Amino acid sequence: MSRDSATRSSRMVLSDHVRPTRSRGVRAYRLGDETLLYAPASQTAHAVNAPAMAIWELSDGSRSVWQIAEELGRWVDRPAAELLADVKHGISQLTALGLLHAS
Amino acid sequence: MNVAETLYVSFGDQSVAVTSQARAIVAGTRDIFRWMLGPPARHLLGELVVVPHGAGYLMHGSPDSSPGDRSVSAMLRCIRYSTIRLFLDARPDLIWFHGGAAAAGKDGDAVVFPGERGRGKSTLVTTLCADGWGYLSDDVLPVDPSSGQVFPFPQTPAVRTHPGTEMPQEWLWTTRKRDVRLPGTRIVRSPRPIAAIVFPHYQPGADDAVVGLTPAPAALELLASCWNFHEHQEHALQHVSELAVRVPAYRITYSDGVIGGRCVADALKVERGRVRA
Repeated sequence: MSRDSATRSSRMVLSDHVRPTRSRGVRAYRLGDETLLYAPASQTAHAVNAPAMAIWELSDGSRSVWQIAEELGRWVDRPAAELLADVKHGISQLTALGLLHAS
Repeated sequence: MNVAETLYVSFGDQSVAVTSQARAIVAGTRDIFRWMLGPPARHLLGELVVVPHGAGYLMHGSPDSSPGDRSVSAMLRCIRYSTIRLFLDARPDLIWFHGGAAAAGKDGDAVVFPGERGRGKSTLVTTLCADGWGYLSDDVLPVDPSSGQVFPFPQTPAVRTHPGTEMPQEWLWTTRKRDVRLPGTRIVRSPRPIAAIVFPHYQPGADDAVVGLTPAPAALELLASCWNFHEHQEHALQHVSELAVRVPAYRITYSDGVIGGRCVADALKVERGRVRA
């Protein structure tokens, strides 16, 4: 995916109620604190940091964007409302890279 | 009347034969594969036959199409590429990277230098070899994922004479390289464990600097240099991920090959006692 399309997608409006799901077939390879996510469909690998990986893992289709922010908030002891914008940004970026579906 | 001569280029127990009546082609092939020539190995993968054609030469037996009328230097590039391609296709069990490698001392572990053409791999490798390191390759890195070792592919190293400015992409394809002669005692003949990964970046005018990389960007750069990723895919990802976690990785930016080589050697000495220069 081009940088332009990633940028467009990262600006997409994401409802708090959307339940993002991991893209089919994406594999995770742990490298210490970092992870490589590989999308076989596009044969591309992406390095993601720990917060992005947490969002990706929580995106199993059962949680809404708001619930993902709540879950992450419990882990880092912060209110979901404070994390919501970052979570949305992360989901948008992972979606732009083809690693999540959030529609 | 010229008599055809055949040279056998060997990698492990496999050989590629290169046959030609043209003395310039035979001599050039001998120069490229000086340290890989010998009697035919157990398995002959193919024969590249170079014949005069029009104003130049034509090659038969290549895995790729070969247009005719090639000059000597263009044909030698074809021979080199086709030979590597035959070995690569014959050993899909190995993961093949575009990169160089040198071993710290006669029995030392290998430092690998993956990267695209023009990054300065050959310059760094030959600088280290002039300082006593062992030579494995300047352009081809066959890695055994089961053992984590890199195999020597000791074609004759060749360096570009850098113009002192940023090199346009076309220049990287067309400009001739200068062979670097190494004594036979520098040639490493057995696979070596990989002790460090260094991604070179030649940049005219830049300050020489070595920075450490975390495993994820190192793995991504390594994957970008993988020639047969399509065949291995997840297997290659698994191996590259493990490698990037297990061995330290660096990016070196340099404008002077000698200083760059010293930077690499110093960084590795400080960082890892296992690499003994």
